[in-house]
Amino acid sequence: MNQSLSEALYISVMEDTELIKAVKAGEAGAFQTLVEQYQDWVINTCYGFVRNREDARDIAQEVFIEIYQSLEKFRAEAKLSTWIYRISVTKSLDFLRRKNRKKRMGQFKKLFNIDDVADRLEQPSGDNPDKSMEEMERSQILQQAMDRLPENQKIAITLSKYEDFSNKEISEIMNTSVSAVESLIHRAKVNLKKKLYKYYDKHL
Amino acid sequence: MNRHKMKNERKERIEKEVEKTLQQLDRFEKLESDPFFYTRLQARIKSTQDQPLSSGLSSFIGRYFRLAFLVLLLVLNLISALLVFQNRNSSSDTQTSNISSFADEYSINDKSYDEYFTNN
Repeated sequence: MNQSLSEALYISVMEDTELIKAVKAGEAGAFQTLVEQYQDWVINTCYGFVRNREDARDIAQEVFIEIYQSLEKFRAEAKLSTWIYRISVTKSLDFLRRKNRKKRMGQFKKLFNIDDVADRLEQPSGDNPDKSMEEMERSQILQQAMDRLPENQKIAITLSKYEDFSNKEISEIMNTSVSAVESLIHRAKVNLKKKLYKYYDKHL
Repeated sequence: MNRHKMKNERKERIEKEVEKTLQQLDRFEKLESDPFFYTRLQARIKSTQDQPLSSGLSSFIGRYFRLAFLVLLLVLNLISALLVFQNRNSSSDTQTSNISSFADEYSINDKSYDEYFTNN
């Protein structure tokens, strides 16, 4: 489990194929090996998007359930890691969409004075006790700005900055070209700067 | 001059804040390993497998019921729109015939009205 991210990403296709074969054959411990090999990176990929530990772990569990249920459909010519990260990104974005929908419903309910206990119990999104107040505030401001980016720019910059994926790896996960990823990351940075400038111009 | 200087200072301050906030992108802290992750995952997979067939069946039926209800609503709306349209047409027909019979009865159709004015 102490492998570096790049080491894990270069797991040979041969190893992947053997692992998939073993899981498909129902070999004891094969699925556990797969989970243990990828769980930390899946959890952190999800965390990069949702920025909440518990939510990230829950989504990661959903990712592995999906993998377990659809491994039969997995085509051996694709890279296992790419497939797993693609599911992680999709699940995280689905979660954020559901959350935003819930938030909008909450605002709607508030408008008509419909009180929902579940809304009141909702956890704050940022949750890192090790960070200073200032850093936490900055993280939240940054996250809000990231949430307002177009979806593909958000995916590209999250995978690049938070997960240290190379542009080639991101292009494989996003199923696009390397130059498109470079352009997405560049546009994401420019947009983030603009959004943050606007924010501080209003709040300073 | 002073105003311009203040504006520049504010711009610089904002840019500094933006840079500091953007630096958070490089300070992404990784989550530590969860030793019970696989145990919890196993339990979740088992619970999804143990889910009674009826719950899957009811969600399937529920989905189709909702769709059927939507189609029914659409059909009802179309029928009522057609009925309203037909009624409006027939009522305008009867209205015109009522007016012309009234005009005939009192001899005030267009022709007689014109004659009255030309005679004068």
